[in-house]
Amino acid sequence: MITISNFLWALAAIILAPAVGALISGADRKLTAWLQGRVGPPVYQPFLDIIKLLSKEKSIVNSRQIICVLVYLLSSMAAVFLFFLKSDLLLIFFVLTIGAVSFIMGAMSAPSPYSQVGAQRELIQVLTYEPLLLLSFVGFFLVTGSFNISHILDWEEPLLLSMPLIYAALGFALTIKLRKSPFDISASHHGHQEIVKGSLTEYSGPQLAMVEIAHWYEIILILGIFALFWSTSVPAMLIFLSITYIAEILIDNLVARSTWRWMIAHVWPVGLGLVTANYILILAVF
Amino acid sequence: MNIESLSALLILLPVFMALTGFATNLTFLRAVAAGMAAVLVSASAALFINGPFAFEPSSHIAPWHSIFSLADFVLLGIMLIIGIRYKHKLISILVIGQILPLILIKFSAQKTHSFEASIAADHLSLMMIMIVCVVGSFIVLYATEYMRRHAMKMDSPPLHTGLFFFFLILFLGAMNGLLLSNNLLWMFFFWELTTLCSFFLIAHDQTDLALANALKALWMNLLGGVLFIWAIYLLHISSLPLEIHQLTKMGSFQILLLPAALLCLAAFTKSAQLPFQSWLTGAMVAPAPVSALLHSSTMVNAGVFLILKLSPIYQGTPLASYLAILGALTFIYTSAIALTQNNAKKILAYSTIGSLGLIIACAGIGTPEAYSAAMLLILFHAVAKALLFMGVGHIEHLIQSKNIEDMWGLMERFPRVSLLLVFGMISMFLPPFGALISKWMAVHAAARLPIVVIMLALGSAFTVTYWTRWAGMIVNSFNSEQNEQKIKSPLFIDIPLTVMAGLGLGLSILIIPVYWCLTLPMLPIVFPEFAVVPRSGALMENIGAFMVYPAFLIIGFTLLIMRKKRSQKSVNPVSRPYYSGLDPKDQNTPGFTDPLGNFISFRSENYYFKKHLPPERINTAVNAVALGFIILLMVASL
Repeated sequence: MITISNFLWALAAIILAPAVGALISGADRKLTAWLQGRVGPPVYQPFLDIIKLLSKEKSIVNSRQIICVLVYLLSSMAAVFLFFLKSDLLLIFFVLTIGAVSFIMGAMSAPSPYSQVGAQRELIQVLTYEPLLLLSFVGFFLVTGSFNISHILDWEEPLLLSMPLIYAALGFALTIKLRKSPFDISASHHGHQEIVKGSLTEYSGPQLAMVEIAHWYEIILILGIFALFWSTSVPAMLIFLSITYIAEILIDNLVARSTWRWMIAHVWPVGLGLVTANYILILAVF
Repeated sequence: MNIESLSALLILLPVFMALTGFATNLTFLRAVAAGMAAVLVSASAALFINGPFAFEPSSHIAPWHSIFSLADFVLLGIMLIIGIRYKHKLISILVIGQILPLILIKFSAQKTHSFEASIAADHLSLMMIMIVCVVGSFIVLYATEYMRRHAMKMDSPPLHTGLFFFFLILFLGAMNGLLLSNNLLWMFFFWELTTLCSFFLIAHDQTDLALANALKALWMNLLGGVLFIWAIYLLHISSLPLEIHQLTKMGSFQILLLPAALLCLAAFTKSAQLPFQSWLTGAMVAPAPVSALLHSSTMVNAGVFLILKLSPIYQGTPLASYLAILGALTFIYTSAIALTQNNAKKILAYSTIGSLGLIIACAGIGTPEAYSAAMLLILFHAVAKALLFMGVGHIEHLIQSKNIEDMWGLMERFPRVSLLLVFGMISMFLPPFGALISKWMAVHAAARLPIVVIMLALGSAFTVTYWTRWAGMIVNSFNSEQNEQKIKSPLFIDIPLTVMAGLGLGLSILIIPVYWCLTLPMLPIVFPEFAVVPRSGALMENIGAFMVYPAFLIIGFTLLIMRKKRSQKSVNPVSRPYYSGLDPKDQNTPGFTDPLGNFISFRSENYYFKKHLPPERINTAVNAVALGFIILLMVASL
């Protein structure tokens, strides 16, 4: 809904989201380091990384990469903007797709083995989480009767109570989006990857910075979607989000990376099963 | 010019101009085609601006009904001759299966129908007539250049190519006639006429494969024709009117359901839905203009057109639910199989069938939102697919291959065509283009039916995968420094492609006015409860968000243009890809030297999941499931 307050919220979100995303990313690294028995970089390290990357010389394999990264960044910004504008969830889903697609195209445009393997794996990842995300949004619709975020936020009780299984299915999508084990198949967050940096291999300098910033926007967006599961009180929402994110970090450190075959073969049946079971619950019980 | 003459013009002009297809002088042919295009486009635009109409052609000019009856029998006779000539028993049986009820209807002493309005058009028909005239005319222009090369390649005599153009242009008239017909018997005639044109056009190359596929297309479409004429017969013996708008005004009567079901099944065969999809994938052996015109933008749309027209009859009945399930099933099946294909035209064919399945699912869901989604999807799909098929046809001539694995790095070799092709792909499945907006509305409408929406979600994910993969291949840069002469595309290929791309872009930007003018007027007619207060559907509620879209588009484009200008000034430091530090052969060729001293150049292939999705077995299984649902559909409408 376009109201003045929503519009201002959205503008503020566009400006602040990278900063918040960077802080979350930094906290992520600090916590991971603590779990792994290291000291780890300071929490504000991502800012330093971005500043360093932005100041580097532009070094690209072909001109399409610039356009693809720019489109990725713009679409992530657009998705966050639309989210804080409290607009339609489905629309946000499709805007996210632009970014994912353009990122894959950028990776596929580079004639490098690592980039190609990473791009194909990224394609499978997108194939895996897209239906789950879309069907979770349909779950929101089935409970509240609308895809519109302002309407969903008006729901009196926390949606987690009516959509617990969808929350679990969405957890798969969160793991894939945040590039955490076991689904960090195409471009792992950390340095350990058998294909160098996978789909991100051929990006460096300002382009890599833009990819990183777009990734932060996506983190904010997907955490925002999770926030819809408990939108009744702000402190509870923050606790809920922290628990979810810490669970992700825990899983990341506990589990090894899977193959794409394993990912599709297991995430789809389990995810779709959870979603369908939740639909039956919603339609039958609530 | 009045409505009657405009309608007559739209139908009869191509029929008579078809004879000019035999002209051997290319310039003359092009001039004629361009002239006809101009006339058709302006006539259809005039008709559209004028709005919906209905009239009965005056029998003082000519005894239209008798002419059509005669033409019907002549047409069926031609098809019988084809069946006999190629010794295809099924075709002959099906044709006789059509002649029989036709005789029964014509010569029954029962009731002679008085037709109120044999020619009528509402916004749906007017939109589709515009599609046929605009997109069709440009495809004919494209065909003049394409067939010149094709004839050179296949070394075919000019008469052969002339026959091709004859049927191509005749087809435009047949299609217009189909869209304008309110009289079911006339629509039947035009329906079968398009089947005949399709047969001759698919069989054009006269190879064994082409002939076999043409015969398959013929018998499947004839099966649809049989169902069509028997539906008319059923209406006839129940003394129900044979005019579509009279039938739809009656609403959902039990007695109308069986004929409606038969007509919907006929539409299924025409639109190559499950289990009749194999004729369309086989029809891809035809030259590209045929694929672009018949098998993506116009003829296959005739089926979904009929289904949408009949919507008031089956709304709210079990028939609608089965339509939705079958449509969604087709969508997910074809999207999955497209993932396993590496033949460019097959991918496009499966994508077409999937989009049509989506449209039928929307028709089955039956809310105003779904109906609008279906109409918009027809429009945007037609434009995008025409662009894609024409582009793929041209590229096939350039690289001598239909395999998408040969399209790696195409943008470096043929930048303009590749750019248009990638644009076409993107406009099929990404926001803010119209095809996606329609899909968005469709999911909105389908969200109440979990089974349908699960199939739509999975199918949609599959489509994203195969389009992205293909587009990514094309923008690859592995042969960037090849000093191949940048070949300029011929004008008559460039113009249709660019116009289609421009049309797709323009219509997407103007989607709100398009929605207002095209679909909103249709909704009160199809959904009487919708009438008085313009209720807000998803599109209107989110109109705020849509206003944001053009803004983002503009910002996005501005940024990109700024980027381009800046990058042209400064030299882009182009780096070599990362090969773990292995020695390069030279600075410009991607690749590395392996430990034995051999140079490994860049090569990449996609994964086709052929083991995970074995096409033949899945085909049989899904066809069986679809057949089961069709039987349920028939039982539900008895």
